[in-house]
Amino acid sequence: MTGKLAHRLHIHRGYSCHTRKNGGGSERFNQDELRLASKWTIDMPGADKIFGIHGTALALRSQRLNMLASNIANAGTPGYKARDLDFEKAMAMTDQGKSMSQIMATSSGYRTPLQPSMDGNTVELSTEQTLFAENAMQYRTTLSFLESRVNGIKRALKGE
Amino acid sequence: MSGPMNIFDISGRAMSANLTRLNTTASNLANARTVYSNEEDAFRSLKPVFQTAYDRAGVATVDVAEVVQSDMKPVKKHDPHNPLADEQGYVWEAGVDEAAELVDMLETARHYQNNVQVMQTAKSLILETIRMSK
Repeated sequence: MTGKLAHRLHIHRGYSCHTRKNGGGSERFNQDELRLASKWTIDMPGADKIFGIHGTALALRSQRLNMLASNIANAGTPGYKARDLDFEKAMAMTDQGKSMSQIMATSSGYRTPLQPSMDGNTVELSTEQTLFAENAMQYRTTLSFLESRVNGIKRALKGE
Repeated sequence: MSGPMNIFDISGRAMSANLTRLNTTASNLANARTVYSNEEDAFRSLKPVFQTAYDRAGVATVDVAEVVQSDMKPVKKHDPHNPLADEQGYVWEAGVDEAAELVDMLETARHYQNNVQVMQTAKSLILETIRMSK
């Protein structure tokens, strides 16, 4: 932790990774979001009779995995703000017939750092790694629910 | 890039950004303590500028926007027996903070490892999904 802090102090003094003055970042982000929102939609399997809630849960877990991977990827970028998905809120929204991109945009938020760093980066690797591992485990759990569902149907079809 | 950013784009691009950073650190350490006969020619440490590349909400990776030269001053030293010394007997040593470079190197290696780990986990999850109920 002290090493990291020392490094961030260095960043602030300008000896290490430099921050690019990027005024138009948030604006471009919104444009990209709009552009992708139109073509990136997944039919929510919320009302699916076979997979029940697990299909939706798996899709959301996969999205959260991407978000946490983005945070880990940007662990050394000055000024990057870590984001995360409120899984419970997102699950509650799936019944309302919204597209995946709408759900992602409204149920995600920014992480509050335990110990803010001087370069404006809010990624804390210990937090992100723990949540990433937790989410991967939950993905596997959902997958095993789906697997047993598929196996059950298979058995019923074969008439064993 | 075609289609939305996937987890391999996220971690892969972050890995290449970190590799660039590791390369600049290696260059800086290789050129540390080299001497020059004037201040202008002296080597100054190179630093990558990391910039976040956003995709959709909450999904982003990192790229190296550019590699810049730091404003660190070369160290002036009196060494009249050095063949590179000027008329007054001065040489300039490269503007590299070796301790900071070593800290940078360790941090970069850690970040690289984390991204590899993310990729491995994602790969195993995807393969498990493909092999579901086989």
